[in-house]
Amino acid sequence: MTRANTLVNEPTIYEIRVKGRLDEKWSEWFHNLTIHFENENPPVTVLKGAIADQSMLRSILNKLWDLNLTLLSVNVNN
Amino acid sequence: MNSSLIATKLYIPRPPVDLVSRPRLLEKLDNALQQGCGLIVLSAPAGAGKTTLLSEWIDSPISDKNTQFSWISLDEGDNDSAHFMAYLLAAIQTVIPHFGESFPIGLQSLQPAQMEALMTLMINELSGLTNRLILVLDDYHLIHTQKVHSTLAFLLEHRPWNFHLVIAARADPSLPVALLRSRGMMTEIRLGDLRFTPAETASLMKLLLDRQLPDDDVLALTSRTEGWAAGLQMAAASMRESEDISAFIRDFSGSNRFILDYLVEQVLQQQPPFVQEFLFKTSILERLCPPLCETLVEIHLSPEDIHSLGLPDSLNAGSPSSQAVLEYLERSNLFIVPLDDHRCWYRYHHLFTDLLGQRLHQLHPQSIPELHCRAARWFAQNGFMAEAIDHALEGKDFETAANWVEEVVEKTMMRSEVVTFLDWVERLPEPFIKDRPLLCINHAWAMLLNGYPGEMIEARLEILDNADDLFTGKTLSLRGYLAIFRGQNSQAIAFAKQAMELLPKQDSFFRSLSAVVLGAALYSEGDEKAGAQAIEMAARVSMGMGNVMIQVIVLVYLAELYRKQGQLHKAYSLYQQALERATQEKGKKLPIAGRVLLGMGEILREWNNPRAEEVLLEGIELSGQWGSVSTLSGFFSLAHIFMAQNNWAKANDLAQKARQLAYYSNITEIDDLIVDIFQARLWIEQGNLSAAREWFMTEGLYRDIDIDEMEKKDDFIAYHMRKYEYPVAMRLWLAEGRFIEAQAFLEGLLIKLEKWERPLLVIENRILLALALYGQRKIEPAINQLEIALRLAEPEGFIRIFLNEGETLHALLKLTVDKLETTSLRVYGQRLLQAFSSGVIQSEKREISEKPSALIEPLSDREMDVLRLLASSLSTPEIATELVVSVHTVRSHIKNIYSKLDVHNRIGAVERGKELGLL
Repeated sequence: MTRANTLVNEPTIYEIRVKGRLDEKWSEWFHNLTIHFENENPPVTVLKGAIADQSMLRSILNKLWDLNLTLLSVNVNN
Repeated sequence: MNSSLIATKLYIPRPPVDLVSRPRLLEKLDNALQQGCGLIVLSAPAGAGKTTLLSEWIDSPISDKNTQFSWISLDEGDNDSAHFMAYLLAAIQTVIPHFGESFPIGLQSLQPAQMEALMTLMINELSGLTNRLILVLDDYHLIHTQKVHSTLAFLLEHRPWNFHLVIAARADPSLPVALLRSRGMMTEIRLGDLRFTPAETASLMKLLLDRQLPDDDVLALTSRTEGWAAGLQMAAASMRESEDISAFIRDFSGSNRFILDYLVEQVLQQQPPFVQEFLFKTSILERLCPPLCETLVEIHLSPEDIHSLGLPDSLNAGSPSSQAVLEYLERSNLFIVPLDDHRCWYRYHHLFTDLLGQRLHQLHPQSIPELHCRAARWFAQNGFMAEAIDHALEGKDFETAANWVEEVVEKTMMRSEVVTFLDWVERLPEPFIKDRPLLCINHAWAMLLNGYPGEMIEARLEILDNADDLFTGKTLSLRGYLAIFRGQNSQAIAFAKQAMELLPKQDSFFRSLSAVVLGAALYSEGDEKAGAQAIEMAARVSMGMGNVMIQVIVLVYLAELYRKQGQLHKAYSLYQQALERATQEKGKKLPIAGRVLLGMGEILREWNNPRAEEVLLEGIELSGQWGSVSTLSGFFSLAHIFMAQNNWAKANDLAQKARQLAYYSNITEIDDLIVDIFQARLWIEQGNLSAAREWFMTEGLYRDIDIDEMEKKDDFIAYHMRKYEYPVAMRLWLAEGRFIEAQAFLEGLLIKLEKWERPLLVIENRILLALALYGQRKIEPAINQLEIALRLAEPEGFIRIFLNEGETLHALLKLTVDKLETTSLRVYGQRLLQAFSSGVIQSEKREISEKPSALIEPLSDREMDVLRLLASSLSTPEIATELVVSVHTVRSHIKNIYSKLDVHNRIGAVERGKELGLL
């Protein structure tokens, strides 16, 4: 495995922004990311937390997609 | 239908009762068909109305009578390509009952490599249908394996005009759509198209709420839900009981809460508690039926409950209630989808499953494993083992799951559902695998088939070292297979030999696997004879396996080995055996027969048999259906025929076609080089020496050739290809008059080729050496060389290899024949001379009388019966009576006999039958 790959697979803090206001009770559904309402108008919710690797990130994004949430941004928080 | 398949997956959903017709989208779908689009993609998020639109389309009265629809609701399990193919076949069989029944490949023994072959058979059969067939793949986003994607890409690329594929998915499918899109061969319906317009929202609300909403409310709803069908439907379900609808809409529009949270809460709040409990607990199921639900949730309905649900009074309190609840949910439009017409199986709308699952997680997390275990038991008792195993794994009852996997592993692997099996094993913790040798050996084999890292496979095999002796032979044959992949040939040979000693006779699968390993390893070690023997043995063992495709492939492989070694007769008879197996009852040839015909055609060409061209053309056509690179050799064989006729236009045209084929296939660089070599030869034959010279210069083969390159195993291309480049380079040198250089090089080359036992190449290069000597006026040595070549070539009846060298060789041969002392060799030489002067050799009587089955297509037993009676004085009706069949049947046999014997009447057939020793 190359060095770059190892880096990508280390847990990383991600911030995922979606359109609308998502209830905190969804936290467990999204691998216990914290859910926090960021902005009222337009409404934006931030899901934030440690994501173990790329496949976990992908599963989270898939779940968002499956619930028909509109994805605004995905950022790595250093 | 295969009993392991779930029929509900093939059910075409009926349009809901409360359907808002969407003519603008239906029209788009109809147009797509009329324009001949092969692919229609509906790409939009969950709940956008994809499935409903398709069900309306299928149900719509304007649908052409000659159009038939098949449907598959995909799930995770279909990522196993064998599984997927089984459903594909079953789906088509729902509308074309006997479709695929004549396929020689049983799905029970489908090997992954045969997927494309099976697809080809399907394509052939589809193209023979008169009706238009539309296959819908719903929920395609669940497919993430490349194998399934490429199988579909293959289908799309080769689709018959009357076949259309419709894909509904939450994301764009991983198919080569860009090309189809740019060719206008694809129609897309996306979220923007599926969004409800305000007018459509108004109609939907009128249907669901039974009243006309004011325009403002309609606009507000459409805008809040962004025209999202599922949102609108849930909103309607929430509003149904609401007294002030406008107030609800104001609230809803004013809230910025996640639309699903908001609406599901509204909907659930309106349900009685026992319905809520039912929904939560059954949300763990992918599909539900009343008895299954009953094992998960106990509900006893009181008369009040029955009344509150508006259920028919005939339903007694205490009677099976799951059915009642399911019907209630269906009637109230609560996100339940019937999966059949008799209210047996249902599923929740996927979106709803997620939401209910999330609530269940929150409310009763501890109950989840137990629910899964109950479901697992129910599925197992009812014979749905795959679903039983899935639920047992979800419920973490690993002991039970492992026992069940062990029970079904052999059947699962026999069906080639390798991915399914891997998924199960990978979800089992190690302690539950390591003491089950049957799981371990199959796990190792499955990982090998799927290209897992060697260390993982090795680790799995190590565990088996402590297992029962029963597994030692199997373990060794897999070790051998692994060694081949790692290029450790000598180890592979040792493993395979040991395995074959230990494996019992009845273990024909592992025995033929070991034999193939041994053959391949010996062959790549350079021991071609022993390699061929081993593959021959694999062929014998696989014959007992009843798998036609494996048999044909092994036979063709073996025949190709012999052909490359110049053993034409042996190769030809193997090709004949292969062709027999690759020909179906009605004389229809399987696509794999293409490769067989190409090999036969090449041999017939070498024998200067006039039928070569026709056989090659058929072979090219059949193998073209595979889109296969093996067609290349057919192009070259055919081009050589045209070159011999001085038909340069056709030969150049084929070189061009070969170039394109090689260009589009990216498996190896070798095919491009093969085309280059052929092109160089073509230039030389046409006298375009400067073009050939330029190419050989860039290849470093114009002067001072480093002959040792052909033995450098680390230079893959040089090792495999130089030996084919050299003789062409020599023809250039000869044409340029560089006889001395050519002689020196050819002498060195021949020493190596003889050591390698490459008789075919030896003959070719001996002839070239004879020409190099003849060019120097060294007549005696030239005659000697040609005599050696003749002696080598005589037993296998080579002809074109001499004729292709043209008039110079003709002159040398005339000198040689007079000097030949052996009678048989002189006869052979004279036949060659005759062929030189006539262009085409006379039919080889000797050849044919010794080989009664020299027919390209042998007569069937029944046709033989008819042929025998044709030799009598009986009339056709009398023959029919004699054979107890109809006159019509006899006529069709006679027609086949004429075409196979290439005759036009009864007398001709009888004569030809006698010639061939059939009578």
